[in-house]
Amino acid sequence: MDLFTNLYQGFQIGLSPINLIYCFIGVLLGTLIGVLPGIGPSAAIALLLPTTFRVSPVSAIIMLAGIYYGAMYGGSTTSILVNIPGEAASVVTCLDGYQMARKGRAGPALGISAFGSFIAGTLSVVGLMILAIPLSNVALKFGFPEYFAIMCLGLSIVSYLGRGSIFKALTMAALGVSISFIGMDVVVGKPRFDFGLLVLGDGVGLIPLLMGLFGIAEVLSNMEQKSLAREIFQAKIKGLLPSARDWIDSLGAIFRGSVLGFFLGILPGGGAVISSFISYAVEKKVSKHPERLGTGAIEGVAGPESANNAATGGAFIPLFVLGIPSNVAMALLLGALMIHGLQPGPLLLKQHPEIFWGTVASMYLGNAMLLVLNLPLIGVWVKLLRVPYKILFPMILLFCLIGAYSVNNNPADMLVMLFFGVLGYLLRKYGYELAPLVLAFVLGPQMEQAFRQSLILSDGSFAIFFTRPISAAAMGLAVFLLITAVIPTFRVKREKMETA
Amino acid sequence: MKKQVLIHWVLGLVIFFFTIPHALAAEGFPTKPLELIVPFAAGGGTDVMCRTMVARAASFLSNQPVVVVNKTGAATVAASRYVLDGRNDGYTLYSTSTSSMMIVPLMQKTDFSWRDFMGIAQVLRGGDGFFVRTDFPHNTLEKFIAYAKQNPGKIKYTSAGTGSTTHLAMEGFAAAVGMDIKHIPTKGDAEAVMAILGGHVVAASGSLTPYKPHLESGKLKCLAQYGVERDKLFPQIPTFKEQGIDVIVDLWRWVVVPKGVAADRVKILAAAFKNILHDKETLASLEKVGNPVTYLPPEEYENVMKASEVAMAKLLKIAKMEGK
Repeated sequence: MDLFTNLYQGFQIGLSPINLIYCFIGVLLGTLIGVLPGIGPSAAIALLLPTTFRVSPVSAIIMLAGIYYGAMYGGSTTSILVNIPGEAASVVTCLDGYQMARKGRAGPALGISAFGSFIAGTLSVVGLMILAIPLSNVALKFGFPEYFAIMCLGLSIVSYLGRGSIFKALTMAALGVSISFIGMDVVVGKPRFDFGLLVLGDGVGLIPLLMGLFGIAEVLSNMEQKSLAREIFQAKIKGLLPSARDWIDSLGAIFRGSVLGFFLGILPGGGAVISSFISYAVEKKVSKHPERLGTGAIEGVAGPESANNAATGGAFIPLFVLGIPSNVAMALLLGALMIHGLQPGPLLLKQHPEIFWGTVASMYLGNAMLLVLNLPLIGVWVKLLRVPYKILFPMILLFCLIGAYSVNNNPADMLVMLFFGVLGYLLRKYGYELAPLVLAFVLGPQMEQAFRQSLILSDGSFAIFFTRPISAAAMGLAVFLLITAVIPTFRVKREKMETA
Repeated sequence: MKKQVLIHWVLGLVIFFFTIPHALAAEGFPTKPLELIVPFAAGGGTDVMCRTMVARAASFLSNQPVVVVNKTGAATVAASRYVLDGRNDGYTLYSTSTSSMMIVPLMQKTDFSWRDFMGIAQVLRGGDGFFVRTDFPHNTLEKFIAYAKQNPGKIKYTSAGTGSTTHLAMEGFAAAVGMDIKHIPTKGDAEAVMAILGGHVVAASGSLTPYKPHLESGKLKCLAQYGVERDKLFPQIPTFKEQGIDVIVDLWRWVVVPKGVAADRVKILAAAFKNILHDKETLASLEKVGNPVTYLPPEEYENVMKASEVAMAKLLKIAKMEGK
């Protein structure tokens, strides 16, 4: 069978000693970078690009790809331990992961995150192998109205993210979208809402926003508690690995997350982020005890973590099959291939299949290496939590400041972060959820762009969103989800009024 | 006690003497690494080109490496400001192109322009074109223009972004032949390529490199290039000028320094970059990444800039995008 001979060739390449070494370096660096907020995999890939000039193209891609999916593994660590997401795709992990850590269950959270990522990563590689070409054709069918509809769908699940009032969640989403308007307008090309500040000329940076809303705000609200009572962490850490019970709870979430992540990862722009949020909402919907999510339910970690790792596999499809990068990291890999004189696209698969299959095989190996790397580290991370909070929180603050600065080498980003830190603290105090804000902020610019592009295409007619099949289906689903989320609230209110 | 004081004195003097060479290094320019500021994100076309270009620069600059620093933000204005507001000691170089140096200042009426910089070397010129789907029935230039004239507003095309050379060239083209086509802006070539491949638009304007694999596979056809002459890597595609349409949009890339750098340092930099851009290995690497070099020395800076300014101002006016 063609598939197996190709795979066999791929493994021959992937298992060669030099490629194993490159794979290891890549995933190790990726994990480290994922743990450190601010420096993302894109920056690391960019910095290491010149070192790959003299190396064979396959080895170069193996190492750089390793950094990319390694970073996804690492990003969840800080989310679980200190409620600071390493990147937007790890925001959802904070919701339940951090709650688990507060109950002394950081170990199982980290463990299921590692295992889930491994299973999801492996499944997505299988998907990449078998479905690459047919799926790339599906991806091409997504035009501007379809993108807008999918974003609407993503936004509509905002209502499932919080534990509290739906309307508060929607308010946060509206705020998130408004903040996302700051910056350069895509259609006209002029800056807007930037208050004349150069730092806002490109919009609010995602990293300063995340560091501020989650990192700084968390520190501020912890400091408000008089007793700095973090002895919860001093309590006995109940086992470092997920128990059998945990596995039973998580298995479904892992598979659902993998499928979701893989298919959504194919669409350019925010595949990993949106799939992690949708996975969380799906878990909440299928769970028999939805109120557990948000208090430290392991499915809330397993699902999203699997989803964002599966999305990395999906993201390779547009790159390899069409030569189109779906995010910055993929664009860098594209650059790396071009430096070696290879341009990804329909011809590359025909002329140089070993690049594709060598990378695929190496991704299997990389996922395995990551699992082996991350599991022993769990014990190390958990020990970190025993550090008394009065020493830990200045370190967290420093961490955040460096992270915010390192994005653009711009000190003004740190001020932006501090602003959002105060904002996040106030929002938390009054019971507003932050996850909807982040989701809306990430989706906002893409939604607006797709919306306006669609209207130019349709010469101003709104019907375009409902006459094209994919777009109509997604919009319909979005409206349905929103309505079903809001109705119970009205019913409760009516009942209250009737019994009053 | 005395022994400690003595040791401290000796250490101090040793350190002092080691730093003197640096302080007196004015003659030996450069004596520390140089920075090449790139106004775009790591991994983009500009960034890859710059990193490839300076990979072997050290051997021409007294063994001092050139380090690429990305300063993204505010559509290149942040990087331009960073270079202008910094020290003009010759250690900060800036990689500019038609967009950052010409279009953005004209569009946004910034307080700086190309006159605030001095050219060191032109790296390349050219590289944008206009593509249609091969299965579009009007897939030659004459048929396309005829169809567009008969169906005003019906054809939609994508570009690499509002205000980019790819957008302005098409607006100029439309005005020159008198047709009404609609522009759908995207954020970069990648999105535009997907849109045309998926059949959501029939025409696209973009830089040649991302479209190349699809030209080779036969799905897309390139009807014209925008430069004053044919790009070295695409010699078989005619330019607008050759086909009788008076639209020339040159995408050029220059390495510049802010005005005020000492004349002798400018000379050293110019000579070094001349050597870098004639170095066989560097040229080969740059061709591999789709950026064949078209070198021009600093003396040509003013001419190129003036011609470009006239052309861009005209196109911005046609596209109704001049600054307020």
